[in-house]
Amino acid sequence: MFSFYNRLIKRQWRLGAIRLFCVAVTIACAVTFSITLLGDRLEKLFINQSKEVLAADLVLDSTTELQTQQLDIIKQTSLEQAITLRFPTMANANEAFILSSVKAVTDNYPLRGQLQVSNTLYGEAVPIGHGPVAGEVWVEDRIINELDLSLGEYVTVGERAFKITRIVIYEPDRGSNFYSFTPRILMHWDDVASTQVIQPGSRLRYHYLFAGETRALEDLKQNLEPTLQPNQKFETIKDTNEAMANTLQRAYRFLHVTALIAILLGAVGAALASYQYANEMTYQYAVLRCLGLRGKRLHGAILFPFFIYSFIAIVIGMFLGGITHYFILNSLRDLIPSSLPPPGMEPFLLSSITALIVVVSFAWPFLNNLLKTPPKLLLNHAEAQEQPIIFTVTSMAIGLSIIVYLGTQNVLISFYIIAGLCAFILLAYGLTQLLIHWIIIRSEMQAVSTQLGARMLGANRRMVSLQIIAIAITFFSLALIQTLRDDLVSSWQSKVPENAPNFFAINLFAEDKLTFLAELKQNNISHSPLYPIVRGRLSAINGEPVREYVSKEKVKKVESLNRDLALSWGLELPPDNKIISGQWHKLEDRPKQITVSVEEGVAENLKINLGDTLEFTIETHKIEALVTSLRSVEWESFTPNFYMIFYPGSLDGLPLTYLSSMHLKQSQRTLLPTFVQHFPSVTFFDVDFLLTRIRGIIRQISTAVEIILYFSLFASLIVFIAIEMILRHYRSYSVAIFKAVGARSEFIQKIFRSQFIFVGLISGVIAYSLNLSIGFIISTYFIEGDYVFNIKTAILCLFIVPVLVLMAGYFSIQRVHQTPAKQLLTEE
Amino acid sequence: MIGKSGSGKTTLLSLIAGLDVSTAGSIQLFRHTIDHMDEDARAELRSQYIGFVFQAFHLLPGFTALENVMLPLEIKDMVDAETIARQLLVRVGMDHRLGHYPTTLSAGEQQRVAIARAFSTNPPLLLADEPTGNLDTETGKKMIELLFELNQEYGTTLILVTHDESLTRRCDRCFRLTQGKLEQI
Repeated sequence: MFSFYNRLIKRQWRLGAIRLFCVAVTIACAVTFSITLLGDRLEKLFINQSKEVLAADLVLDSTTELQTQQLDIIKQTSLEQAITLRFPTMANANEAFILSSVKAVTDNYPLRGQLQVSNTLYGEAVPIGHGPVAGEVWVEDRIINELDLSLGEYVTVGERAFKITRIVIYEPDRGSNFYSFTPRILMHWDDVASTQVIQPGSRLRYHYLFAGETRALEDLKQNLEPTLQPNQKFETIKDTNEAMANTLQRAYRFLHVTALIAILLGAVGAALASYQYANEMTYQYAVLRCLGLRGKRLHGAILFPFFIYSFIAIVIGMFLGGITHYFILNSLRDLIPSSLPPPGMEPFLLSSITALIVVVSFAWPFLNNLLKTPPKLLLNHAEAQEQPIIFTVTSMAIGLSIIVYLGTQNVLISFYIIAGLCAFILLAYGLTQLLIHWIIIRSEMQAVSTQLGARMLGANRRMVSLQIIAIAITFFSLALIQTLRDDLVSSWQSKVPENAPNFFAINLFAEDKLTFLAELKQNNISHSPLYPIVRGRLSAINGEPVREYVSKEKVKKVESLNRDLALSWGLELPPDNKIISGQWHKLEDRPKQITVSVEEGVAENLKINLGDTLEFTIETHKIEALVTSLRSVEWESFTPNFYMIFYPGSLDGLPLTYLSSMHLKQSQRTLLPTFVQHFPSVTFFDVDFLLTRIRGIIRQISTAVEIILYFSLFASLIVFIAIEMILRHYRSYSVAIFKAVGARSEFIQKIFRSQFIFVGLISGVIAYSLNLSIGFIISTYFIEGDYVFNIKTAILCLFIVPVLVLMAGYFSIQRVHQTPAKQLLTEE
Repeated sequence: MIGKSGSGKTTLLSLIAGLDVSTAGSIQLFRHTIDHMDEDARAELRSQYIGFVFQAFHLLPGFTALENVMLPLEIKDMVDAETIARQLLVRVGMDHRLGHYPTTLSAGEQQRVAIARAFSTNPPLLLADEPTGNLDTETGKKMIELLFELNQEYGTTLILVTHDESLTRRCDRCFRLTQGKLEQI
């Protein structure tokens, strides 16, 4: 019996529709597998890293050194201990500068996990259980490259030059290197003082590391907890991991939504191919019944090959998905570590389930219909019984919902995606109908072949619309990615005026203020005013601790709560700020109480209103301030901006530094080494460098998205071919009739040519107009830049799409063209 | 069996083959009353007793000429399906087109394959529904010759539905169907 099925499997492969169906299922499965495999491995990476991400069992995080009372408690414990201190600073060598992140570590760091270092640039990673000795530094390869150094040479940090002895490849407590803009310099704890970079008010991060017995750890935690200041907290594995995971998860979610387009196009392709397969199989099924095949064997003859092919498609899909996921990993190579943990079972299960849903909910309704074919159809040419449309639509809607939900794992997001998709399809469908109608009317004045082409388009309006929507959706996505990648960053940059600040100087001490200004003036460097800064945390609103005041969910979203804020004061409202409620303070106000102006975003998130009292903790001091105004701030303007601006004098006596932004012309960049030498504590942020990094990240993520979009492109080709197969019947008949009434081949070709050009043009126009409007919305409302015309997307949509459609269409009707009219009519 | 279009010839053929069920009366086929049989039982009966030649040939497009003829034999799980099919195709003059697909065959060739398929299981009853309806006169004549020759060779009962009254002379018994009534002529 199996040999009978085997033979059927082999023979049914000759049907074009089943091959197309297999390709569609393969695409859906490959995309799902590549995406879920990537997600699974990234998740495992976070779990693995979290085990050693603290480099200790317990970490106390603080922006200041611990107080005596706290140090006394620590002294009593028997736990192993280490301290790390991180701060940003400019490192220089060979007259070049780079913003680096210095980490000073004590002898016994790390307490858990190991460092990975190399003794040569790009050499083999070697695990090591301690940091550098005093006088030496270990650096990340970027320091070596950017400063044109080699191992054994010296790099200057602040006032001191250090010999580079090793390359740091991995630090256990650095977690993923996602978003690490600044390269690491690892030095010994004892060397920090000699750099003279650390001054009161410097931006510092201390980590007090502990390791040992759980009981002792718990005791220590319990004893220290009551002494903790608002700028101090215990870091748990969850806290450390969550921020990283969230960032990458957002990028991953974006990738997943893109993948859904390819999966859904694959599903539509599978549905259309199944429809055609069922059409082709109708007579086969009736013949088999007529010849006496019955019961399970008859159903098996139809379903067994179908499911075997589905299974093969799933296996091939997984194989292709595996390869694709390597390409995606490669495109994200700067954002994620080079070796990821091996995957679990979930990607295999999820992609199989998705492919099965495509088979069952998108293809099954047509096959089910096939099984109801009456054998008498062979004798009296009765029409096969049509499946009620409601069954097909319901089945597909359920399948679509499950696929989207599996992709997003979130009911609300799934709802938005389905709603967005429906809106897109309705809009595209409406536009298609309008354009077809317009083309039919306009073509009346054109050549007869054009008129006929337009009319044939109208005759198959439903199928043609589906074809157009599938093509438009793919090219719209491709064009949008292009727009996002090329235009939006440029538009954001173009918003920055020519002489906008390109360097930020932070950590300028009060005693250096006048010399600094004098040097700027002497060198003719334009700069913003010097803004005083005191670092502090918002600790309470109206007497209620912040963390209790707003829900926990919200606190996570308010970044300003997780770190020290730069608190400033001044009488002049910064140029890009606007008062949206309340009154900006004036000198003559001389308020009895300290007053503060709050940025509107923070105010909204923390539900801060005018008249509220805010409590700030600055080192050991506490200050209460009355909210007198709310301000809007243009964060993208590249000028210094603050969440909180106080009335002058409010923060007197607290450790303060200054911040300024300046514009260095290309020729003035050479002055930077002198500046760094004269003001070693000041950190200079190169905004151009940050922009380049951001652009790099956007480029990498969009390349990953593009890889997935190529699958969409392929899936939309499948949809196109499937529709052409369905329409072939109609096309053959039309060609036969044209030939029968004396039309020459050339004339018939013209009819089809105009038809395919119309399909391509309508698809391109829809893709381009949707891309224009969505690109415009993003640039106007999200990045508030000017919309930049992109010639590449215009060429892609309005020229390449029609040409591709014409080529694909031409190819698909070749056989119909070459067949004599008599045969075409007999085939009917 | 002759009759005007719409007189019920094809319906009668469907009823005989058990492809359709009667609304009244009873149908006996090879001592089986088929009215109360389910679809599967009727299919079983067809595989044992009945062969078909259709006006539209109904060859399976994905199958070669040889595979189309092998199909009924394979359904009956016959091990020498290929040998029998080859012999039959040689017999109908299609030995040079064994590996061709139906779309590459002419209408006459397709009907030859269909006739070979109908005789492949050596059925006691062969139902032919206007077998020359889609063929030109010359080819039609050749097909009829072939059908009658094989009918003789295999000793099959042939029920032939046709518009062509000249064919009635070659048949043992002729019936005309008029408005659902069958009368021998």
